Formats: sequence, structure tokens, C-alpha cells
Amino acid sequence: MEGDDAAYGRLLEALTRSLRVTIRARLVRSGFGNADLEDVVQETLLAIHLKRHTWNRHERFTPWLTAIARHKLVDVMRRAHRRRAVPMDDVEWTLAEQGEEEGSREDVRNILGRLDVRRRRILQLVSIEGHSIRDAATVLEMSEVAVRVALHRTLKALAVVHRKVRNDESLNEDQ
Amino acid sequence: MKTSELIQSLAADRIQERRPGGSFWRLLPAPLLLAAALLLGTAGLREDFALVASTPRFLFKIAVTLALAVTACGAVLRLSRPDARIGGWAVGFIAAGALLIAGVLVEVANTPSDTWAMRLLGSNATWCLRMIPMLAALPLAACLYVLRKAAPTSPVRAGAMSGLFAAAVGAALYALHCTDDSPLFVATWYGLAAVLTTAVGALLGRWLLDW
Repeated sequence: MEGDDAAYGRLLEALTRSLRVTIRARLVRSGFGNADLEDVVQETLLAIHLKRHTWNRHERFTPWLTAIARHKLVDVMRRAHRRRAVPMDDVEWTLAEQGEEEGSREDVRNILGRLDVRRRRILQLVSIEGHSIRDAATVLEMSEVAVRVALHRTLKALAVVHRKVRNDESLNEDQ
Repeated sequence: MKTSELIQSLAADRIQERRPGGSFWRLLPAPLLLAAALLLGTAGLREDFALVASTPRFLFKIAVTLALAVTACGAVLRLSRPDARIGGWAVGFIAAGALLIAGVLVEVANTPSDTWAMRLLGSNATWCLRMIPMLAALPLAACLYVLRKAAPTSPVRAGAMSGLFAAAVGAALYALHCTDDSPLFVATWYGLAAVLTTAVGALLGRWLLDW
């Protein structure tokens, strides 16, 4: 199981590098700044992960990936009132080693702060401190199963928070 | 949170939702049965059911509504995935539509023109407009519930198709009770009920199917 986690993690990392390049190109074209880039990349990664069950093994992976990335980009632009088509026909996903490194980022949007305390704690343990599920279960005095369920729900909540934050931003711009 | 940190959590999250098709087949029978029970419990079967069950007019209503239901069901499943189109299912819609039109033409060709208005208006139009959406409510809710777990890249279209599916199911059930047998009536009032339910589905889709 641990080996599978690591392999999936490497796939996500490779995808991230490609996503960063592709998303940045399209954001720049629409006048978005770099501050947005990493948030959009994270939102897209979340979507890819949370919706991975909608990929049909018998279909090609790339069109599915492109569709999800496009959907997220369109969503981001729509919430910022930039109604432009997002051309993605020329996307070439290269799972290459190159691609930008992540810049340092502050949690400008306070994404984590909008989660409730328990959820933040789980992310803290697993994401930031890098604990395994088993170790996190010990620390939290929960069963492993309970931690898995809580982590999954936390990730779903994280996706909702991203959307809410964008909605709030677009509402504030209207004022 | 840095992206590399997020990836730690994503990699540790092994819980995976069921595939949309699987969810659909698991969750749909109950609302369909409940809708059928609702019909039987409220309006009930038409009194002359045994007599008309094998007549062309009755079978026509069942055929059109079931064809639409099956087609819309397939289309919803297609639309539940990113960037999918309804694809081959379009044929089903064309077939159901053609069948409906054929029924209307046959009716018009075989009945005196001064009866058409009466046949179209029927006797229970308002009942029809109330019952079909009511019967469609549970199937629509179930559809939307499944779609929320899926990834429809066009929430409005997916919602609308759910509404159409639910309307077709409601119409098929209502046909078991309805005594207005003219294809003119079916095309008009079942059609109107379907349009209304589809519109509701589209609105709910826009509201509920974000991801």
C-alpha cells in the first residue's frame, strides 16, 4: 500500500509540473497574475484526485485530464468575470522532468484558515508534517479507518473552500 | 499549504468514489420503485387497465415514454463524465421523437378533424401536468445525487437531461393511470410536463452540480 501511495504521489508531482506550465500560459493570456497560479494548480490537482473515479480505464487519459483542467480554468475565469473561451486544443502534456519549481507562497487567500479546526489538524499532520495515516491515527487517538474517512472529507471540504473563496472574491469585486 | 504538501494528502487519500455507472445502478431502483408506489397509492391504475393493456394507443404511450427514459438514462451517464457528449444516444431521442410524430400523424389521418381539438385537450390535462412532475421528483433527486459525485463539465446540460429522464419515467408511470389516449394529448401535455421538468432539472443542475 505504501508503495502505491508513493507511485501515485510521483504521478501527481509530474502532473503538477505540466499543469503549472499549461495553466500559467492560459492565465497570463487572460491577464491573471502569478499569485493565482499556484491556487489554480492546487484546485486542479484536487479536482483530478477527487474525480479520478470518472476516468474510464478504456479511454485515453489525456483528453480526460484536459477536460478537467479546462473545466477548472473556465470556472476560475467565470468567477472572476472574465468570460473567455479557454482554448485547450494545443495542450501537450509532457510528463517531463522540467517545468517550473513552485515559488514560495503565502496563504494569501487563507484557504486553510477557512477549514474547521479538526480538518486543519488532519491536513497539518498528513500534508505538512508528513505523517502516515497510522501515525496520524495515533496522534489523534482515532482509528486508522476514521482518519482515512476524515482525510477524504477534508479534501472534499478543501475543494469547496476554494470555490467559495473565488465566489467571495468576485462578489467583492462587484462592490 | 505548498503544492507538494497537498500532494502528500492526495497520495494518502485512498478512498475512491464509486464509478458513476455503478452509483447509478445502485441508487436508481429505489426511487423508481417509490415513484411507482406513489402512483399506485395516489391515482392508482386506470380502471379499465386489463382491457386496454394490449391496445395500440396504450402501448404507444408506454413505448414512447420508455424509449425516452432509456435514452435519457444513457445520455445522463455520458454527461456525468468530463467533456463527454451524448454521442450515439442522440439516435434514441430521434427515434422516440419520430415515434411520437408518427403516432400523431396516424391519429390525425384516422380521425375526423372536428374531434382533434377534443382529443388534444382531453379530460385530465391539469392532472397530467401535476402528476408527471410529482412522479418525476424522486428519480430526479436520485439522478442529481449521483451526478454530484460525478464530474459533469456542463452542469446545466446534465441537470436538464436528468429532468428529461425523470419526466420520462414519470410519464411512463402516469400512462398506467391516464385515460386520455390520443397521441395528440400525449404530445401536448406529456410534452409540456417534460419540458417543465427538464427546465427544473437544468436550474437545479446549475445550482447543485458545481465541482
